[in-house]
Amino acid sequence: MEILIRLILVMVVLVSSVNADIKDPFDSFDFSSSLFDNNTPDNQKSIETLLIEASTIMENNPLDARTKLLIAIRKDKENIPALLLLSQYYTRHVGHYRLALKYLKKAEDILYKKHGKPPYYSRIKQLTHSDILRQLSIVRQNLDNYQGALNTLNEYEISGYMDVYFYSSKAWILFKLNRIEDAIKIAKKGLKTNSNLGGTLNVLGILLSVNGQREEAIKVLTQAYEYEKMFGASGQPATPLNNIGEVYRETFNEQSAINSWQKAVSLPDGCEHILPSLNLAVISMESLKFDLAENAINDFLSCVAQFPLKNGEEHKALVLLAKGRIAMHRGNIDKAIENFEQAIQRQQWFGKIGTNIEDLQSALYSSMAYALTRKNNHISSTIHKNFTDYADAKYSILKNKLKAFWYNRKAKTLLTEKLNDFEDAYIRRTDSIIEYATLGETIKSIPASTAKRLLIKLDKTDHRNRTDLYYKAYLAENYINNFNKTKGLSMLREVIQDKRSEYDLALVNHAKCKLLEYTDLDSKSYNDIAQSVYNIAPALIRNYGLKLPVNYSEPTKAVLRKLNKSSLYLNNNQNLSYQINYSSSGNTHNFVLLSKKSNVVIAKAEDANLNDAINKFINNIFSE
Amino acid sequence: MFKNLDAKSWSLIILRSILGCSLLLLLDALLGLDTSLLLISCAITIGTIFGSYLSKINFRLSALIVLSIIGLLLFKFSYFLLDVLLAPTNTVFLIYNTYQHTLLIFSFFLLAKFTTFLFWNFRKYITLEFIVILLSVISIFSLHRNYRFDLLRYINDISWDTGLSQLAVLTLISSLIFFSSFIYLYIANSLPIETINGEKILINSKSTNFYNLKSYIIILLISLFLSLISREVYKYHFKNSETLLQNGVGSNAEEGLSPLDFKSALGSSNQPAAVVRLNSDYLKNPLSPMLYLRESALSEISNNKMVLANTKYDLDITRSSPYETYVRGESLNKNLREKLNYSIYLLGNHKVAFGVDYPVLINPIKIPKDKKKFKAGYSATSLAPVFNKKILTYSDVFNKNWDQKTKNHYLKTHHDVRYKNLATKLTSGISSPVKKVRAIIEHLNKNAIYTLAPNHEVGDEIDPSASFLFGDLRGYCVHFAHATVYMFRALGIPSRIATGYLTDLSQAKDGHILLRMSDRHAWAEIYISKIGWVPFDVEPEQVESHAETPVDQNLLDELIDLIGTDEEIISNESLKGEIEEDTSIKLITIKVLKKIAIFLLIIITLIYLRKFYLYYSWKLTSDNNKKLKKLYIATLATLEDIGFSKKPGETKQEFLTRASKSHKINHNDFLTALNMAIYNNNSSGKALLDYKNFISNLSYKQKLLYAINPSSVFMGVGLWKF
Repeated sequence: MEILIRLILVMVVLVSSVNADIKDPFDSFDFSSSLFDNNTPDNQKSIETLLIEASTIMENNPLDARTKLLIAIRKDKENIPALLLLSQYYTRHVGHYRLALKYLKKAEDILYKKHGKPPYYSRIKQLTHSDILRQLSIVRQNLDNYQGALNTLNEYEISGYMDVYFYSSKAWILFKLNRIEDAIKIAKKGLKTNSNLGGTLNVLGILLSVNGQREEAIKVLTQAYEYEKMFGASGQPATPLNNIGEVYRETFNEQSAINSWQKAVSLPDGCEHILPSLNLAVISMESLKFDLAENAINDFLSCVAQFPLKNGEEHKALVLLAKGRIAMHRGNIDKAIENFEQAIQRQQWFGKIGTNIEDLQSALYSSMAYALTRKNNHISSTIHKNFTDYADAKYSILKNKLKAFWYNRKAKTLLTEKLNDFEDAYIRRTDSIIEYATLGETIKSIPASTAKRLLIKLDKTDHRNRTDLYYKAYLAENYINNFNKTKGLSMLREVIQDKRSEYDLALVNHAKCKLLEYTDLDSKSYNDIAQSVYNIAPALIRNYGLKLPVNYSEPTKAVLRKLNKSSLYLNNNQNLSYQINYSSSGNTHNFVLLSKKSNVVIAKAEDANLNDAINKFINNIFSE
Repeated sequence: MFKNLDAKSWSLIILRSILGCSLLLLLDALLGLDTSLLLISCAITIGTIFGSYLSKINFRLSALIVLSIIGLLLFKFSYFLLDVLLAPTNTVFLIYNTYQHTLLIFSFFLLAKFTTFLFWNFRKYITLEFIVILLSVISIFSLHRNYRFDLLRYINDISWDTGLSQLAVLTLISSLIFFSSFIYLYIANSLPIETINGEKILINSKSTNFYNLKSYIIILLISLFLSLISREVYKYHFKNSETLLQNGVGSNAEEGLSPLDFKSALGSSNQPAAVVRLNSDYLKNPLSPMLYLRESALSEISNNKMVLANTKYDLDITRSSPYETYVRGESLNKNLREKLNYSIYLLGNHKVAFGVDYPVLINPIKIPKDKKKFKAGYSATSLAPVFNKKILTYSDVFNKNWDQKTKNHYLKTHHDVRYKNLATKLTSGISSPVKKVRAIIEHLNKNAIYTLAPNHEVGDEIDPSASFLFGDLRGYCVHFAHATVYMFRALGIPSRIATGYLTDLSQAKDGHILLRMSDRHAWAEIYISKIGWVPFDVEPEQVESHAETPVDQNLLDELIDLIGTDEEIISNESLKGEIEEDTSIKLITIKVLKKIAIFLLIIITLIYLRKFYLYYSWKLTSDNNKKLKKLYIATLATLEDIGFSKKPGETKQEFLTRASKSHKINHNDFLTALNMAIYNNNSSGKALLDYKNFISNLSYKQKLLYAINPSSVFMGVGLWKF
């Protein structure tokens, strides 16, 4: 029996720690089934046989393994190795940590009941106990119970157990408990003992980055990447590579960041985590390259479909958030709201992939608030067919306003209360998935004195020279919203003068749109800014409730009036870049938007009903 | 301060506070207020009391509005003041966050104060106010799934959480609304306003007027409408819209009949139907990631519809109930199939057991009582297909063992020749039967539009499949399946319609698949030699409306938890202190209810302690002067509680004389002694009022009021001064 337990425990460790497939060199196709007695039903097999079979096939046939383990437990409800293996199954293959914890706690209770509380002097009992504690700490981490995980690891250490993952795990937990200095010490100690070098280097890299030692962080993370690469298909080089990208992004070295993430997604473990893809999508959105952003997310989805057992639930909300934002910036607000709503309904655990639920929720709520505001702008620029339509629109606007207010409030509550005094306002913070280009919309409703204090505090601690632009833009919006319009607008003008980077495009265009809200429609500056925004991101003009000035030919007064109610401003007093041509043949109204320079048709629409024709036309003009 | 608020008034205040707190809980469930519900509840209670007080002292509405605005402005100003003065450097948002929460609490206080003030002053409009409250409660409960008014979201949720039927929950809630509104209205309307000496005060009165009667009737009618009519509407929908609930694919089928419906599949719900738990890996699923679970098969054509054939045909379908064992005898080619073990836990009623292709064994499982969410369960073994899709292309159709009659059965064509014409046209130049099938499927994939509301005429002599296929090509699975089978048969390919569930394995977790009503499906199948019936399903590229929504992973997790450990070896107790509270939206959390209950209990205890002190404090003192004064207070308090209040301006003499007429009080000597005690501080040395006798002579109703009515506690400090 002792030998069996020893064997099982060794297998447990093997299954959990090494991600290598166990292959029979003589039969590369069907290793597992050929070894076993397939003629005897599982119910009639001994517990020992079931456990050996289960642990052997766990990697390739997890469901079969689960069935065997459940049968073993049915035969002996207090079989600790079976409980531990089941816990392994739920931790590694399913990600159902609550169930894993249940099995572990049960195993722990049985151990204490049978053999009393530790210390144990028998090697077998020590092995069992240490394995329970090690797994408990992993599961507790995954359930965001970091203090519990730390206590477990401390108990593990006091009991005299040691394992290669000890230092990296402890450092990570300390980091999560915001004890950065302690975490760095532990990680460095881990490096000295040569335990789990890849993991420890990765954790140390993150810690150094958080501690502001970014150059050192990149060096350490590169070492981690090189180390993981040595393990070939079983290594996890994508994780440190993603972290390298994040450090580069924080230092505004976007091209290096993109290179790292692109490399990360192409690695064998690249699609195990969404973060490199999400980061790619986010940085593409910051430069208003929505096609690239969409490709990054779609590539990830097609890649992750290879893991059906886990069903990838943990990343779905993040994917929906990214998709929603892309749809919103492209002018497809309904789709964006649908995506955000679906994402909000999902509740899941995020600790493992480096971000937490509050970060996600605050990002989701703020994006939802923006989307609802933009939806109202769309409704306002829609031509209503009749009074019912008009009344319905007014009702929707009111409803959306209330909802937007509430989502904004919830986002602010999370950011200011749960996330350490709005720590996400630190531009491009690693953990945060908030949209930095539009964060000003959230900050603007905070009283000026408080917002100013926050931004001053950030400015003091943040020594990166490219973040001023963002803080200035946020403060400008806040000033405008708090009765200091002149100062706010002049700051916005400074922001839009910035010509530094293509990766600040989203921010600059946001600032331009905000400036346009307070600029005279007939002025040349309005026209110039509006044209520049439209050329880069056509949907923004309508999203922000602005109007695009265009020349026109032919429209009757009625058509002109209706067009002016939409997101267009028909003006023949200036020579503008775009021209609208209207014609009606028979019962059909035809609209065409032409670029005057190239004489290319930008958008067109036709319909028998004038209102429908205009609405279609506007949709075509302001969507990508 | 509240001397004129009697027991009924206080019960109304308490009722209003409870009502306000209930609405608050609903609001929190909907919006997630993020502020302490306990504090907001207190604010609502205080606001209700304060509103009543202001109304009692004849406060003007305009003054109240001005006061509230000033209050809000001061509130805002105090924030700026604090923010500037304190200006904490460590925590930027400390004051801001405090302000946000207190603002919300203050808003609820104002709301409660306003509505209560208006309630007391315009009580004749109470019915109107109540209708507004009632409608808002109803609208909160009426949030529906997929715009189905017979699938109320909260009704569904409560039903799911409690294990009660939806109808029972609806009836229960309706009854609760009915009774609570009736009690509330009764109390509210039995408190008319009376003016005494130009002062508007509230007094207790048993009189009722016509208005009260009218308001009862209105409320009664509304409540009746809610509790009975809506129940009937619900029942009507529930019974008659089974096919709607089930995506156009019902489960009732007898020989010669069909479970399919052509009318509409609009509003197919996500109501959970079953959980499938795979006990072995199915890595070679040829249709991956889709998994077809067959329940029934329709191979007979009757009246423009495919129906269930005689038991001689379609031997692969179980036709057995989930409660009986099923063993399949026929042998199959095991090279192209592998054993798949799984269990199915039914969450809805199913008359027929369903399973993955070719179930060979079905065994009912005993469902433990604590797993009441499951109606039934069975473990099953199927010989699931593992063929390579590529081998299908040139495979033969038909089973060599079929006799001519069986062949004819599966080839019986539809009388409408247009099916054959179209099928021939679409497959011209193609010789392989499977390629022909694919060409037809491809045609529909490209040109058909999936819609839940196809609007094709239905009737005994009308063929909705024809109007679909040769018309606008708008339809759902039932249309696609019929049209394709008719065309396959016209080309001499044995085919039939299978019904059951279609699920996407990528939505599964831990080998558990949640089947919803919206996963019910009908699809065409053709018989491939040596393999058997293989699904050939249309997947239209154009989708106009679709019921497809992601699987509720929280629900799936909950169900995995429930069935994941068949052995029932582990209780949830072991998780205590390990996992943070579930943050998912819950209607009412026990934690909050407990807090509110404790708060109310403390308040009630304090009130009754004070009442007890008023009644019996005279016994605790040996000083005769004090004893006399306290005895007077006890008498006054007792009279107040039994509904005999001291009127404003009434002297002690007048009041006690009035009281002695209806109650046994020997007041003359007592009053003299009391006056001596008050003015000379020199009483005769003993209490001259037989309090015990006074109490014992009260009627039973008065004694009850004496025991429970806390009005005297709120009579105000002024009354106790001598």
